[in-house]
Amino acid sequence: MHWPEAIGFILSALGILFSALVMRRRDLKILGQIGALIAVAGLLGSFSTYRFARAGKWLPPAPDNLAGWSVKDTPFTDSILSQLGYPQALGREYTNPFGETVYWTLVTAGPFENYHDPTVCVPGNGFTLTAKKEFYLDGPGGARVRAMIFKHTTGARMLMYYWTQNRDGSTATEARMGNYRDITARFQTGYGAVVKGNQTVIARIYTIIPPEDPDGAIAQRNVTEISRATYRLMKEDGRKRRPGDTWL
Amino acid sequence: MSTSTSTSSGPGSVRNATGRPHAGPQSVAGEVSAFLAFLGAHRQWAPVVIAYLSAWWLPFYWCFREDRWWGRWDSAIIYQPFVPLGVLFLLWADRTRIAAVWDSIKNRTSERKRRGTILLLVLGCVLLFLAHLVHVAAIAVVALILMAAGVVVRLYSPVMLRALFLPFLFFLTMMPPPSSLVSKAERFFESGAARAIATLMRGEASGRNVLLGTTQVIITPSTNGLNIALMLAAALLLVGMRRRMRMLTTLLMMTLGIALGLSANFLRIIALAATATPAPALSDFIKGMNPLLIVVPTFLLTLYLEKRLRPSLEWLGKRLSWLGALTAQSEKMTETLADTAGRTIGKRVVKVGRASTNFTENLLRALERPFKKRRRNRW
Repeated sequence: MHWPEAIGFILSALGILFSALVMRRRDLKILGQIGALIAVAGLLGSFSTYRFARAGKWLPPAPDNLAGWSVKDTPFTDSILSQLGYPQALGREYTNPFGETVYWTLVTAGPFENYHDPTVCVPGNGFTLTAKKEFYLDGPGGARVRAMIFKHTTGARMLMYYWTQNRDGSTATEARMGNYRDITARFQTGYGAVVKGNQTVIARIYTIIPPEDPDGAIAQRNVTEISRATYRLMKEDGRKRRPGDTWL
Repeated sequence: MSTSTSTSSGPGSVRNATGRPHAGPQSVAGEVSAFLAFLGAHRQWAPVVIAYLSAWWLPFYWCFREDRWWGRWDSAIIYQPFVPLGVLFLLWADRTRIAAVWDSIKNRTSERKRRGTILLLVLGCVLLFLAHLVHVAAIAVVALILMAAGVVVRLYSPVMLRALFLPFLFFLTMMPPPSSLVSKAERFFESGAARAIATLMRGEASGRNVLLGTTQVIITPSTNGLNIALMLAAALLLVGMRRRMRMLTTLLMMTLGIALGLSANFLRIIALAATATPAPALSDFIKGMNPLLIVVPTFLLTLYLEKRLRPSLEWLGKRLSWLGALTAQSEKMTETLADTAGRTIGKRVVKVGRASTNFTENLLRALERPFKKRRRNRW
């Protein structure tokens, strides 16, 4: 447990305790009742913060043995981790025998600062979103993912798949950046993390579309292959019980 | 404060620790000691205060550490953490009137009737939980203000909430605005200051950058003046509310204060630009200086000028009587609308309110059962 929610728990517990003591006096009963009600609201707030932190404690492994692909670890820099609120994160580069590279990142999704939607972050690096589509990665009813094409000022194009995946294998594609427009998606995330106890990761898998691939067919095939393997591995890993897992 | 069930006086704010009524304005030290004596005499409020602080803790942490809206002096809304002090000041300064309202409520109605619904408090608690689910500080602050209003309604009736209209109105200034709105306002202030400096010192402005010969000055959030303007606006609004000034006069005073504050900040940017090359250390000091060094003198100057200019402001008020009339009319209309809406909604929600009150009371009774003293069987 982190110190902010620990302080919240202590203060709320004190509020409840004092309220219970005051409630014993008949003339001050109403003050005790009001204090208890407010303290319970504070306690629920601390509990929510604790559950958000818990939501970011599941980091599945990266797919290792993909036939024909070589793997290189590319850890996140400290500045990126700082921007994301220091989540657990994995970064990799998958390269096939033709020299085509797919970039792969996985970030645990605890508090909202861990969520940085590509449509907000990527344009800051000179890219513009030119196309967006949502589809099922692993057949109908499988993983719903969002595919995006970004075009750089230099003319280079990037194909990216983005989704968030819960431990039970369900996925979502809504933006959950820290602004007020995504309030429904934020509520879904909060409800999932706090009430349902979901543990979630954010997957971003992308490649640069080479000029000799004008339709992006090869890029799409490569990204789909890595994404599908990632989705299946995460679904399988999510079912396993790990040391330190608690129902709360 | 004591509740109506306690044996001491009502909201109690008017009586000192010895139970004697408040005897007009005192020195600052006297006020402080009277306030401390008041707190000591109303220790029974500790559970509600601790519970309310516990509810505030995480939203405060978001604003202070995560979003850093309240944790740095160059933030546009750095005045907000001081708002509760302003609310306390308004309540304390108005204690005689508040106590009089409470006395009239007590004399007119029975204890059972004057207890308002718990609905507002429950609504505030539910909204606070929702704010935690979506992690939006503005919703949490609104919920916490609603909860405070709910406590007043539950303990002292809606009539008391109406009597506390101004402190609660001031409390609302604590609500963090959407960050996009703050960014837009910052950009507006930065580009405006850059253009003004460029015009005055014959330089070139581009966005928030000003090129003066070979020196480039960048107007940053610490120098754009928005934090100074908002701090002055909040402080002068508090003065206007304390003195119960007319809305138009308060607005004029706030405009005067903001104009003076921005002018002082403008001089600061000129000094910053002028010293950038010959004395970079001095320039850095001017750039990083605490905004209070501008806000406090400007605030005092505004109060002095307001005193001197009062006849002119009154004259201006008369000349703008149509605006005053319009304001008064709109206030009247809003009040009528609020009353009508309150009555209409009140009739409909009274059943829901009563049911929710009963439900919550039963729930609380069940919660307190394990803590209740059990009577020992002497046999």
